[in-house]
Amino acid sequence: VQKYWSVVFAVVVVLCAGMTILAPAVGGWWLPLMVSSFGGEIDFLFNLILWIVTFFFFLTEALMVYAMWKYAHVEGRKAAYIHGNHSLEFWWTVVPAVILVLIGVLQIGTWENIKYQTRMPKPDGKTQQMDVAARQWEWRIRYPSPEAYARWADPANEQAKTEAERWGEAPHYDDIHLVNEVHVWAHDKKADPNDKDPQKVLIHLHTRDVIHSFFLPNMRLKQDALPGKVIPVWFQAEDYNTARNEAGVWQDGYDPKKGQWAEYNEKTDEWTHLDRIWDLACAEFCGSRHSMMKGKLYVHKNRADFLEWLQSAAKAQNVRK
Amino acid sequence: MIPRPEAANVIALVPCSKVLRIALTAAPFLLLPLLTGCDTQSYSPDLKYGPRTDPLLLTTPTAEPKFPDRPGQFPIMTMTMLTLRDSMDKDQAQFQLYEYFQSKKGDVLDPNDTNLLKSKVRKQVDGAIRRMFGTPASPTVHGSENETRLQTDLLLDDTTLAKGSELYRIHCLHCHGLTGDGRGQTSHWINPHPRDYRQGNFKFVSSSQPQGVQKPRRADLMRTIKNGLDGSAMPAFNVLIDEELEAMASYVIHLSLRGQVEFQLLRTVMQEPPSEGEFTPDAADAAAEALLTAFGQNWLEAQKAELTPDPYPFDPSSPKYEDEMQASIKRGYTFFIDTKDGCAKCHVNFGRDSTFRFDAWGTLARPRDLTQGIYRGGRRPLDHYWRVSLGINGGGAATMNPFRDTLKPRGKAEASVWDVVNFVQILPYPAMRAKYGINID
Repeated sequence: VQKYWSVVFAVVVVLCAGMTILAPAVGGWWLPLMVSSFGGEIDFLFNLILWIVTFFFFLTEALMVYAMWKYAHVEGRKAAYIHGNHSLEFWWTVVPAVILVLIGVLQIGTWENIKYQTRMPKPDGKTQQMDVAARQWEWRIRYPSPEAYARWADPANEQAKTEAERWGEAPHYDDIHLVNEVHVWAHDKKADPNDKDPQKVLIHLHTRDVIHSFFLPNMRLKQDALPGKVIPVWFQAEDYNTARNEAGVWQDGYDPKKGQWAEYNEKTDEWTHLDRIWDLACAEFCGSRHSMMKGKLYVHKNRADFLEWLQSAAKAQNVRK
Repeated sequence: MIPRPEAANVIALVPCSKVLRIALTAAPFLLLPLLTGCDTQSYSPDLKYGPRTDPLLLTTPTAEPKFPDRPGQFPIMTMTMLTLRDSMDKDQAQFQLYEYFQSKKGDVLDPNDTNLLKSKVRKQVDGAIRRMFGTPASPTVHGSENETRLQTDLLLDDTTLAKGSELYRIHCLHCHGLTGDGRGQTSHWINPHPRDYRQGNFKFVSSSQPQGVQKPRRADLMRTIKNGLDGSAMPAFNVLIDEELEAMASYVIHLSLRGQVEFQLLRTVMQEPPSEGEFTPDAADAAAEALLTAFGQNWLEAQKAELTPDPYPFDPSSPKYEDEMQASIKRGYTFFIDTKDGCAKCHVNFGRDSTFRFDAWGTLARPRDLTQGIYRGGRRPLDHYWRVSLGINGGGAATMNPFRDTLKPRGKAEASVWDVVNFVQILPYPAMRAKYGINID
């Protein structure tokens, strides 16, 4: 009777295998839409590790089920006494060690590309800058004003160059302040295929209270914010989701390929094109309302669109009547 | 004999069949998911708003405590807190409250005092409030002379309120408390403490009513919920949709009306105790209705009383703009540093050395450090215009006076409201101070 326990385990493994095959095929069960320049590298590493682990999980599970079946208790059968198996132990130590080293070597380039301070975009006129202050439970974001972007765009203006370099150090009179809204513009690869150094987004990330983590799932970007530190973070968006809607308001959820907006249907309680709504989330448990510490990522089509939006934000902030 | 695990031994003692034994073992695990609580989002229909138990502060001391209240503690929550004199530090807020109320015993009323408030009278008060405002699960604002207008103009209809109550439970309850008393679970640990709506006082408003009866416009509440109050623990809720925020604003108005009617009704029956025989449920209802009508009227008037700012006198596109700004900021600066009639009376050293003051809620507030560039009531020039013109209705010594009638064009001061706003806007930024020749060090 006891050997039939192995069947229970076998069924669990088969269900797991089914889910593993099913999940990537079903929409919404797998990774969210990837739109950043380095997202491909991250996804490659993620998939590599996932499939290595998946392979060995099923291998060990299969061996276990087989052993349970074959060596189940039989009345009168006596267990053999063995004192280890050196060659077996050798291989199950060496193989994982080699895999670990392999993964370690494979990720060096990606880590360097994304996290090294020397690889951060320079805060010059070309780079988009913003200052993100995390606090329980919201993101307070500071943008340079449209006037600042105009000054910085002039390469001959030495004073503006210094201004751009030091922008992240302290708030300025004309900064634009917003809550929970990250606005950037996308780099259009097709429009300018020869641009060797396309513009990037540089974020000066800090926290006003506890540890938070700045997480843009669609950019495959995650960085902890530590009290007392300003941590530079960068990414580069390769697709956009924000445009003017019919009412002339800047709205996210736009799919430029299909020309459609993300929409919620109250009757069916279903979203269409939900993958075009991009979240900003906190990825470090930071207190009771951690789950509500959400923002939105608005990627505009190009610099001109972004500046137009920034103008409207500046106008809303400088309202005097 | 192989020793069996202990749990198996215990189960083996149960005198029944093997199948039943396995079922008994598995049952607790299968029932575990029930513990997660398949609850609805709204309150239980049996839940009632608790009656007010904390003291009614009719005035607050003008003393300026050196220290804020300690984390995890309000200066005052119950009357017993005012009797623990020996355990208090003399520089602490609680001690100064104690001293103050020792000298002015009539200015603090204890609703738990059965000598002052006969339990039969208390029962009538609570009953009248309950009939008027319903329960947390089905809140209502019922029994006012302008009931229909409250429902249409202020969106205090039952459907909106029920929805607001659900959202309030999810997002606001843990700080602002069930009755909106600002004493939820987390409130003790954050300073400034969450707002207690029950006095009917709101700070960041744009209605031009006099401060005693000033109420916020719905737009003011929406702005606060949407953008949060930077510099306090109130976060922004702009991830929620406007419809939900509107329902939350309605529910806040409901709690505020309920709290204020309760406060005033308790105050009346404690200061002029009615005879128990005459204070019937009908009499209590009538008294509560009169109060609700009056407060509801304040709210309705506030909606139409938005203060329209005087036109901004300077044109940013004009070539003379910089010179005008220079002169404007100078005028604003001169008014600000006037320690007698100007801002520096309270915002000592531009707010960097401001002292703590008691507000209407018996908690502490402190004039803003305006060199920080963090503003609770919003950072738009318009927000600053409203703050300077209308003041901040903090109650007690923490009230910021309205400067509408002191500054130009109505008042006699050299500076206009816009001059002060212009100065306050550049104050936090060293580069701007240098540009306009302002030295604050």
